Amino acid sequence: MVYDDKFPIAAQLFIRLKRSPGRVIDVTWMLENEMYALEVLRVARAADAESAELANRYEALLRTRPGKAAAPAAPAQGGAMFARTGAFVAGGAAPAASEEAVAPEVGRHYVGALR
Amino acid sequence: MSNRTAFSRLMSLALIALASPAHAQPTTVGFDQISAGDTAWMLTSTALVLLMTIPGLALFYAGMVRKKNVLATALQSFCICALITVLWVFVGYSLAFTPGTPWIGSLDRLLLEGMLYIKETSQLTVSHIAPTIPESVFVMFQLTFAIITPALITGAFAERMRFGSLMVFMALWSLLVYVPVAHWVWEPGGWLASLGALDFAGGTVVHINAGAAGLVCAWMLGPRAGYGKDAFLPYNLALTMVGASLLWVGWFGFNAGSAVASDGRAGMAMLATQVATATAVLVWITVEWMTRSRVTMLGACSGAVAGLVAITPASGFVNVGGALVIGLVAGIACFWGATGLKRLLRADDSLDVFGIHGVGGLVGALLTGLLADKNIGGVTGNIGIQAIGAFGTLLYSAAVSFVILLALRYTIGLRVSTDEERSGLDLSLHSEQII
Repeated sequence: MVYDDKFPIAAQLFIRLKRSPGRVIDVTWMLENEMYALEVLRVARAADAESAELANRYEALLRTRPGKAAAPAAPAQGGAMFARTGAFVAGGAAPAASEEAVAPEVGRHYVGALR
Repeated sequence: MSNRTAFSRLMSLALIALASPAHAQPTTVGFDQISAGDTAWMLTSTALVLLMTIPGLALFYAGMVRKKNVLATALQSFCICALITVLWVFVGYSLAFTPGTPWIGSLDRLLLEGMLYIKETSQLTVSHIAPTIPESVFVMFQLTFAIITPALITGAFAERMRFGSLMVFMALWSLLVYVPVAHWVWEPGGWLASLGALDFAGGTVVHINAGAAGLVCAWMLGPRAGYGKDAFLPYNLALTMVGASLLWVGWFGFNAGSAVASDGRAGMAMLATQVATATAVLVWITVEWMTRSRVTMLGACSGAVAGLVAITPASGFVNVGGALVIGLVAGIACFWGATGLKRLLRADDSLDVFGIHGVGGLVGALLTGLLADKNIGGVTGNIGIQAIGAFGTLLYSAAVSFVILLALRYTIGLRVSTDEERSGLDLSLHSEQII
């Protein structure tokens, strides 16, 4: 349930951050890796007010997960976690493809339209 | 027929409407007057058209809504099937398919009064519209059309309407909108039929009618919470594909069954249906690939429905070339209807009822006027008369739908609460859930 609620916010963050300040995030990895998510939220808060509001909503959902209080934001590990343009650049191991997760372009497609 | 002639005929009809209404009881004939071939095909067609709604449309729509609304969405089609059935035998059939006036039929056939099947004397009744099949079969066949039309509308307000309000709306809409429009177009004395409007299987009666009502519903109910901001992920597009496939197959009963005979014209209607649908699928996915560099399952299913909708009014009038043209135009027009036009209209028509059924119905109705082949239907079309029928129905459906929704909004209410919407209709309205 929490996963379902987090996805639309992550998808919106993907769109907003790509538009400005031009950063591309990995929504799938964001849903799976809390440390990465917190780093995304840090960047979102620095971007603009609406992105910050989305970051707050996402963090609130992180806190509701049983036994998983949000940890303080951690610095990016092993190199950049974002790229100015292009695809996600992993600092460590690349996130494994998950059948359960929804690819960012799929989520973006269903914002305000079905077809 | 020129447009001036059409106008003068319209005025004449208005005068006729003021005269006393005609009354007609069904004709009683012997069993030997009934065509076994026609009856067998119409029984089959009736089952096919019912299959379009349950489970076809129910699955088609259920696959496109979010997981928390799947059961509620499928339930709507199911319950509309039951509701319209009862209304139809009580009063709907009588008002739609008895002569009456050019605007509405009579109340002479309430509860199917006068319909007979007498084994001892080997007699039964037939409708004046379908003299080679038992009236019971004709009643059932037309009932399946009366069922699917309001069920189509549910896609426009998916995920947010109260169930009780929906049932009341559908009952009123069926009696105040569907029944009169069916009478106008399909009863020989109806004003559009008298004008010469061509609608072989329901492009105007079913699809323009439902599309217009759907658009008004979407406006009146307002957008879903989070519309345009949150991603509304479809639950399972495989269900949508199964639903679309059932619609495609069932549509052979819809279109070829509308010949009300097991004959060559039914065969032509079936062929035209297949050709237009296949063409529209190819056109839709081509447009999708050209604009988005992707071919999607939902796009292919949508193209199929667009083609099916557009060929509906034309299926018993056009040749194969005409079907190809209709499929081509429908694929492009409905893609635009579900994307560009949808953004222009700024309504949360959730499952694109107007974009596909409204636009596809208009395309089919108008092109029937251009492409009707006299060799097939025995008539040629007139685009002016087709436009009168199409836009007259669109305006009437929109206006009456608006009035019904307005009355419901200020009495029993239309929308679920914000909390109910957030929880999903499955759980909040029906205490059920997909795990």
